[in-house]
Amino acid sequence: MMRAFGLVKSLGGRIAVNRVGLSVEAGQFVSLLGPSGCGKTTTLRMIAGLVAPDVGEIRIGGELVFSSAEGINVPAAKRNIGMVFQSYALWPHYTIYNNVAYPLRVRRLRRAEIEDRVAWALDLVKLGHLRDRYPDELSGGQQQRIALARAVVYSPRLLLLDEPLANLDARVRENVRFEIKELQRKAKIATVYVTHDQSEAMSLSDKVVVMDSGVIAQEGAPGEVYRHPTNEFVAGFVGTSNFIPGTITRIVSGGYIVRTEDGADVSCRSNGYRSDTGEDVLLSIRPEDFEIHMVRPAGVVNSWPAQVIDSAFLGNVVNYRMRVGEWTLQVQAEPHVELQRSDTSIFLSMREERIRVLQRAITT
Amino acid sequence: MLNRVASIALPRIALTRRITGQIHVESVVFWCAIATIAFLVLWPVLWLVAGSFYSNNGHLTLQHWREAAAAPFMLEAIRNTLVVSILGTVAAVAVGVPLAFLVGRTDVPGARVFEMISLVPFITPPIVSGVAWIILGDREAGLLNILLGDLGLGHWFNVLTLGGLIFVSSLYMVPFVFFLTVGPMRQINLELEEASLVCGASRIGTIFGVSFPLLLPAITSGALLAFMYSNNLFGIHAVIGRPAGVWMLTTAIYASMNIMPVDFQRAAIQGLVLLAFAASAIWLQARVVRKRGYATLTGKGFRVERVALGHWRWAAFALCSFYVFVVAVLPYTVIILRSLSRYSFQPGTSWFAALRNADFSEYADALFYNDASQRAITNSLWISVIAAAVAIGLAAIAAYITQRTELRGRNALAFVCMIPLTLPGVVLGVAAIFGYTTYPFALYGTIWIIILTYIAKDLPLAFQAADTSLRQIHTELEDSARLCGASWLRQFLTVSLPLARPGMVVGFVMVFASMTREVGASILLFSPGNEIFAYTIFNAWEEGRWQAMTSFIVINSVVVLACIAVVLPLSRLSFVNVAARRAKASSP
Repeated sequence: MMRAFGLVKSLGGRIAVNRVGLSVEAGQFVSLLGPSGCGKTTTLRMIAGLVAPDVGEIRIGGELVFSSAEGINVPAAKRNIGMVFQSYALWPHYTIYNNVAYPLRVRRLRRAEIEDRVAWALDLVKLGHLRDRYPDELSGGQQQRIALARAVVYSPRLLLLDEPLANLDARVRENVRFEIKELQRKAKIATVYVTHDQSEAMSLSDKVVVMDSGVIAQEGAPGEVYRHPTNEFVAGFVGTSNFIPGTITRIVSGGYIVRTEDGADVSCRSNGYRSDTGEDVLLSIRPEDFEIHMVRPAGVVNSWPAQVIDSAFLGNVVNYRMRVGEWTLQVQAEPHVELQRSDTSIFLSMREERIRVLQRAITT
Repeated sequence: MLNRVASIALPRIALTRRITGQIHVESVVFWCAIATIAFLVLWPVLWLVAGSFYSNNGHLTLQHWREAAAAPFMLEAIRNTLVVSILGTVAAVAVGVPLAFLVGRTDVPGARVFEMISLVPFITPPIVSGVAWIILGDREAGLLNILLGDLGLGHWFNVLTLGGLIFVSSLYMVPFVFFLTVGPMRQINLELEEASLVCGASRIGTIFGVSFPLLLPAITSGALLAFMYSNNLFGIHAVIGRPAGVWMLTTAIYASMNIMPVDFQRAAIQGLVLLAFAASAIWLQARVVRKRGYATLTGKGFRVERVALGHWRWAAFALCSFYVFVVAVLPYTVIILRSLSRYSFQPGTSWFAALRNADFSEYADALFYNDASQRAITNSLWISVIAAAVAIGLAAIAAYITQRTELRGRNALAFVCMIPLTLPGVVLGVAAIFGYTTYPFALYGTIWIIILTYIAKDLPLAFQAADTSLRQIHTELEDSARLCGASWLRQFLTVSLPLARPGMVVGFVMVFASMTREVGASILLFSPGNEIFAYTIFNAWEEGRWQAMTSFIVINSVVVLACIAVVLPLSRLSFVNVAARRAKASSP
């Protein structure tokens, strides 16, 4: 449906987006996930036609809308794309009806058809009764749903959402999130969704594209990205990870033995990471992937005595900071597990297959 | 890392290739506006500079600069100009900062009203203030002196001196300091002050140790702006400085242009000196703002905690009232009184006697019998309306270009729009005579030279108004219109313009008011048959027809205020009000 190749954009002398490629299939929901300043919004604005890439090519539904090589740049107005902005961007001088009807009037549709379409779009977001109000009379969540209605009312080829939930209260955010998903499914519209909130990206998307400093760090299905991060950034940004640096000392069948800097040997699966002995690597493990034992476990690999530093009770889980050797690790436990700082016989173990072996970033 | 380095070398596509083949409406609009602005501002200024180097028969020469340096009044005029601007600025700071504190940070009664009334000097032509203070403070016939004399206290005031000139000028400079300080004064993060108090500092210690240093950039900005503006007070310089024998650069320029033998080159050189003063003030201001920044002040809505003055509230109220009385009530009262009186005031005349024997003959004459003054009313109005509309239109496009496009050189455009800030009206008048009398223009003697000059003169004001009102429109409102399929023109007309209208209307009114009070350029550029208000007033003053002059002033003020009253509601009839009205109507 949409394909972008090798997009490059520098802003203010800095490269904001560097050779980013992106593809969205018909009806697919793709999230661009990353911290602020990673280039995700710039990428979205280039697809929209609000920013011209320095280099690259963009095709929407087979049509070439931008190409630096061929000097083609179809203006935003001609791309037939729907977009929802962070600030809602409803025009305060128009009623809700006129806001939603605007793109249809631009397209010179007949009056009766405009009526029908607007009614359809407003029903889609369940706000038909507000058609004669002005935007400032609506709540934030309602405004955002109207913005959504305006973006889909002309059945655009592609829907772009730029952090649409960022300005909403936590509870409203949850509702609108489901609304967006439902609407996207009903309208079967290919969607690109920009966010810095990993739970939004995870819960909404068919595919997550994680960006970092202008490049794509990893892309894949939400579960795939979470379970199998391929680099330190993704492991740390999508969810939480503990990082333990070490060096591969031995290759065993299906995995490695990694010696950490304080001399412990960790046994782990390769999980597709090809390497050789002597290479410096980074071991990554999620807080929820530890197993906690109150006595020294027998016959369990990768187990070490641990001591509680402090804990944070969050209701559904308890987060502990624990000291294991020289490392401080974040460990998540179920709420019924109650550990004390005075407990001296705690042991932590890590299952081999839950440990990710990652390339260690060169830091000198 | 390698990737990043490699991609820097990749070529950027040129603007021309992006716009393949077709001409966009927006680029036509943009380039027309840019060309017009560049011409209006740069053409006269270039001629002003060039003119000072050309002799009357067209040779390049430095002779005029040598002669100007040796001219009898030149050094005196420079000295007086600096003395008046600097002492006037000091006085403006001494009054403006405490006033801003009282109005912005204390619970003085009627703070909002005071804030509005301190705008009065902005909408009063300087010449009006000058005339009013002569009526009040003339050594013999001044009303204040007569009052004191009747009380047996002798004559205290004499406005027709250097001191009087500084006093009346500073009244005009106070609002600059006031308005640039009162905003930051309100926005100052109270926690910074509270932190100082918690650390054990006293109230006074906090004010001098924390608050004042934080406000210093704002105060300095206001002071430099006031300093720069002091040379726009041609009206005051002329009506007070000339009888007082205090030559200012502005009046010296007027003399160079009007006293035979006319010396254009000297006028140009004197104008360039004024330009240099203003430019150095701007340069200093930019440095101050850049170095100290406003980092410690934030625009976010901190709670405004007003200092409770207790019993001193009413003392503060009296102080503010006195200021309002001096800048607004007193001058306008005596002007009206004088316009109704056939003769100048004499010792023993009561103010009410003047009212009892009110004589409206000059009003009747100006409105019904005198062709020149009738023409002046209509000319002034339509010139100012056209010039203000063009100025605000150009400024709107310029602001749009600087904020919303990636056009190379867009910052230079903003800079060009602000250049006339350094040109007092009388200097711009000289520049216009140079620029628009030479080939291929022969506009001198037409009304067009006045219109073009007015537009250039108030472009900075218009640009700032347009820039601010456009800045308040979130870009996403425009982007979403484009995404909805609207062309640039449609987006501009249906989204940008309606949303910017309230701010633009206010900007138009400000520019219009500023144009109707312009004197310096007007008296150089008017021609018989093309009279304007400023000329009529100035001419009556030169001929010593005080009653006629004050009548013109009253008519001028009333007409301008009436126009503002008609136009201003357009800014309020906005969607916000409509929405609010609807909300009110729907709630029981």
